[in-house]
Amino acid sequence: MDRFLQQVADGIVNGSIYALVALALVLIHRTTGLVNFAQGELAMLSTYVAWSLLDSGASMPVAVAVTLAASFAGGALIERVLIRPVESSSPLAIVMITIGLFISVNSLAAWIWTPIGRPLRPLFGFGGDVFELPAGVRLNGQELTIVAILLVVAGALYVFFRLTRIGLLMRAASSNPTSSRLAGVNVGRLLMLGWGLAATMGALAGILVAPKLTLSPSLMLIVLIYGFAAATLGGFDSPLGAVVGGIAVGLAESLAATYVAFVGSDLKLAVAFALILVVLLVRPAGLFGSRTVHRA
Amino acid sequence: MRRLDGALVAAVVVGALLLAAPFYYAPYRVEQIASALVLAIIVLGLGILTGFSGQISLGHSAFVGIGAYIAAILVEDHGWPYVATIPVAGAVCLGAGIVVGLPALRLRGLHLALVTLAFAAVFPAMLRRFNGLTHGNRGIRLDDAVAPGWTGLADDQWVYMVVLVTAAALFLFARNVIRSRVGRSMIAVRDDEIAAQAAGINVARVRTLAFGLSALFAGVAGALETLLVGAVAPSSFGVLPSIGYVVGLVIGGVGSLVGALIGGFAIHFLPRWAADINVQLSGVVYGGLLIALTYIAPDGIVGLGRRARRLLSSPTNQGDNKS
Amino acid sequence: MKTRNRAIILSLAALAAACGGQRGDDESSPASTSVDDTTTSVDDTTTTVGAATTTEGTAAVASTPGTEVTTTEAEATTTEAEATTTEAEATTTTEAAPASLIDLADCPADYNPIEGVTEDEIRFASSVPQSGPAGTFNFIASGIRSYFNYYNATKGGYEGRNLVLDIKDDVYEPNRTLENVEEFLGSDQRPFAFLGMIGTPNNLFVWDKINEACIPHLYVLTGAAEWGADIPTHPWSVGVLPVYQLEVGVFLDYLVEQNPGVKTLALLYQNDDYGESYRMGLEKAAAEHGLEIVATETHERGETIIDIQINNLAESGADVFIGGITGDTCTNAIRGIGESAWDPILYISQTCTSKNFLDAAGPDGATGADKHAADVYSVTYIQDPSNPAFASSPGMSEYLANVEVYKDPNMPMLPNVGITAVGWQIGELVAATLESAGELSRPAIMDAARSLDFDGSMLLDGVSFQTGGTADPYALEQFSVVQYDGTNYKYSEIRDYEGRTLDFVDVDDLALE
Repeated sequence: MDRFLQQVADGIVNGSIYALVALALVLIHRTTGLVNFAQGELAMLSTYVAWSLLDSGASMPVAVAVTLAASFAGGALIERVLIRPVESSSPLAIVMITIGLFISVNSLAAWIWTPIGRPLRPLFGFGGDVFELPAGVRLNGQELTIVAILLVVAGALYVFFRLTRIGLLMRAASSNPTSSRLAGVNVGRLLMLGWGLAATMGALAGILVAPKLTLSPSLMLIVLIYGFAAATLGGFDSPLGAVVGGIAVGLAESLAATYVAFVGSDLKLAVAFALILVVLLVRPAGLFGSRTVHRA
Repeated sequence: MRRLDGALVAAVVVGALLLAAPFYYAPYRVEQIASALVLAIIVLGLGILTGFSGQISLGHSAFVGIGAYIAAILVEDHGWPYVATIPVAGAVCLGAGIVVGLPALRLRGLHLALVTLAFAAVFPAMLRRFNGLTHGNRGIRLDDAVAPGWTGLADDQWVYMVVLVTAAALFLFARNVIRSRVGRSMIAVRDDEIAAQAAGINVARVRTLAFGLSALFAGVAGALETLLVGAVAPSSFGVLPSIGYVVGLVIGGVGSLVGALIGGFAIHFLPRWAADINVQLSGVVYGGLLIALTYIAPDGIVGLGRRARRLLSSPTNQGDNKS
Repeated sequence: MKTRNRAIILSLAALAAACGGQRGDDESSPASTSVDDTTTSVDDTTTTVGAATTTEGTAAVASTPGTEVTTTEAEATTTEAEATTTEAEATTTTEAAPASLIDLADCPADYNPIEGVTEDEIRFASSVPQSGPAGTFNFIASGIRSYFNYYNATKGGYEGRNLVLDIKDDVYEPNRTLENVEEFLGSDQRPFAFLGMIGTPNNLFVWDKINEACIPHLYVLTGAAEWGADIPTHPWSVGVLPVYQLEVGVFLDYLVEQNPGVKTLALLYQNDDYGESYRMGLEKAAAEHGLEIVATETHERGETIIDIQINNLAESGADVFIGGITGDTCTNAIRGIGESAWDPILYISQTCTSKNFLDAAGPDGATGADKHAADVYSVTYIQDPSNPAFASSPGMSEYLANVEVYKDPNMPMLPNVGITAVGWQIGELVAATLESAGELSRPAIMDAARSLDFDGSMLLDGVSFQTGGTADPYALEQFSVVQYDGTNYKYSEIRDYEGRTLDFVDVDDLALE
């Protein structure tokens, strides 16, 4: 029983990581209708920025604040400079830009910081302490932080989209940019806001995850795939779906890898894949995705 | 009529260059060109799926892997001649593609792309898992292909010719499919599924067939790769090659036969040229190039060619139109 | 004809011509005649027409390791004089070394044993991951190049010739490795020898070709047992790193000696050829000691989230954790186990025996695994540049003073990273191999590589590179068992397993054909 609960707890923690990445992906998809293949690499780059700041003596709050701000600016800039000019091209062409970014950023990070793994401190001082929860479950402070921050971020996004004016404008702009423009909405700025927010969330995910996985240019490669899985499961335009999807994927792989005889740790990802497939066959739009009328 | 002539002449010239290559270049260069042709075959199959049927797959490296391993296992464990494995790989992958295409019917665009991505991610682990069949982690190594005596060719030339002939056959096949009723059905489904259905087209059959065909191309390419390399290992397949094929498709131009050829050569040679410029920054160069290409040629190189042709055939350039 | 088509054809033709790589006269082996011309003017280039001996069958190697394959068992064949030889003197290598294992009769008709050697240079070639997820390995190549630069500058090279290493990136993909090797083989400047190539499947893809060309496949940088277990078929391939199966067997011997009450083992290994070698070695060694492997988990290379695996292993409560893992996974595993309630004796692969990996899991790292760091064991054979305890040793001082000064500016360089030091040591080994070879030729350097007795300056005291023909094909078989206590390493006495690697390997499991 102990192991089961520990696996559940670890599944939720890992799922929270996937959910954070999925949220960033969903944010970009909701605002610009695109899939950002470079999401993970940009998050990794931001994490390296944080590491460099910490390494040169900055305190954690300062390093995090500067990194998040810089990531926001960077994300907005990428939308404005790289994506906007070709916005009218085919979606595949725009995906190419994100793939190009993926490859460049990965190489750039390896060149600047070399590929060797770097240790990153946990966000809070208690991050390194192990907490004994009921029923023998052990989690360290950083893992608890991850889950807590996911809930905070998810909640904040919910409030933002549903209850603030900007959030409403963003939803309008993404579902109907032409009408929105006609109504006087500065669609361009909202797009930049979307990408900036997504980049910030990615940076947060990276900073939270790096202490656990060790910072290197490959930090987010596998996490990105899980993030995609989570977003797909949840429906690509629903933040709630991203959170539920992430937790579901984390739990499923954790439990299946442990308790299903055929599935070993090497086929963990297959579990995520099978789960998504099954759900999509039943609900093609994902768990919480809005069903679109398919106009081929 | 003039337009046709020009395209035909270009095709003949390209064909001639490709035929002459193995007699001009050193063996290692010949093998590289053959590798590019193999990639072109994969991109072509993907083009049928994406360009003509409108479905995106990021998982085709799995089909390439299936084809490659079928060829390797048949040659190594059952003593088959290399060439005989090619149709088998194609047939098995046709079936596999149709099987994959069935659940794909329910998925659209993004979802399909990401599910197929996960498929590609899982594939190497599956190869390692079924190590009784696949020889596990260390892969399978085969004796190099030997040119049959009656051809009078060197070994590398023979391998290249097998690849070239197969590629040519597949390009012709693709061209015929596209122009056939099946092809037109695919285009109809891609453009307006509801209308196509109303017109009596069996959408499900067309879409799964498109998947099957694209997988067939990938499987044949895998078998050719086994012939070329003389070995397979799980680490050759995975997510990154799959993404590479889509990159090739977009660089060349979606929905174009010529584009597939260009795309195959591009994704083979561009990363290597980038590494020659600067190994440490090869990703920055290659990634930057992809971004630049998206700006310069958002419809691929072929799209660029079309735009150039339109420019050149504007009234002020009449003179150039006389052949 | 349309301008567009004209333009396409012209650009294609230009591209084709610019690609270079024309076919030589002899299609099967591109001509290397230009190299011949320059080398005949150099001194000391008598080619070895060896009293070439081939050992009878592989059975001698596989079933009776440790016995000497004496020349009486072997068939002595003298080779016919090649076109480029001068005096046909049978030269044997230094000391009481076994006779040459190289039979030049198997080599191509136009074989040149001193190809790749010019008046000013000796050219080595390598294919390693320099970019992509495995790009960390580039540090090894950087270390080798740095040593070569240092050697050339301070010692004037070998007999006045600079050691040069040409490197191509293979992104750890075996297909690319093959491509790179073929490009080296097909170029106008073929290398004297291949050196320091990385990845077991990568090297397996190419070793047939390299051996057919009779080019030395020197110091393959993987701990796979293949590089010494098949000398008759691959006489030109030689490894250098300790074999993984031996490493884990050494630790088990030590463990049982120091902790006789130990009974159960739990294994985590990377799901590829590297990790599999640990699994194979552990299964064999555990059986011999009567220990039981009660839990086994794998992880994919590149997959760094291993909580699930650690939990499953912890559940078993085994006495010992064996980590056939590498890179950041080592750090993550130590951290993960440290946080669990499980308290096993913790062993990780020698590829992670470096302070910069282990410190990341220590008190100042992400978590306080200090209560478990006292039980982190590994084995090692080389000095750790990130451990201040070695800073003043002669080899380390020389390394620290020079590795960065003589680095290649286009390659990454971090002196305190363990594998940079490995690269430097390999460079030194190459120079020493050249110096101990009786003459500068490919067969001679192979014979020297198979009769090594070299005290590398970066190796631990009591460890040296030793090989002895087919009886002792593995160079590094001496280790210290290391215990990390969170601040310092404690090194055990040197455990000497010279000549015993094959005791720990099941040759049937190897990829030999």
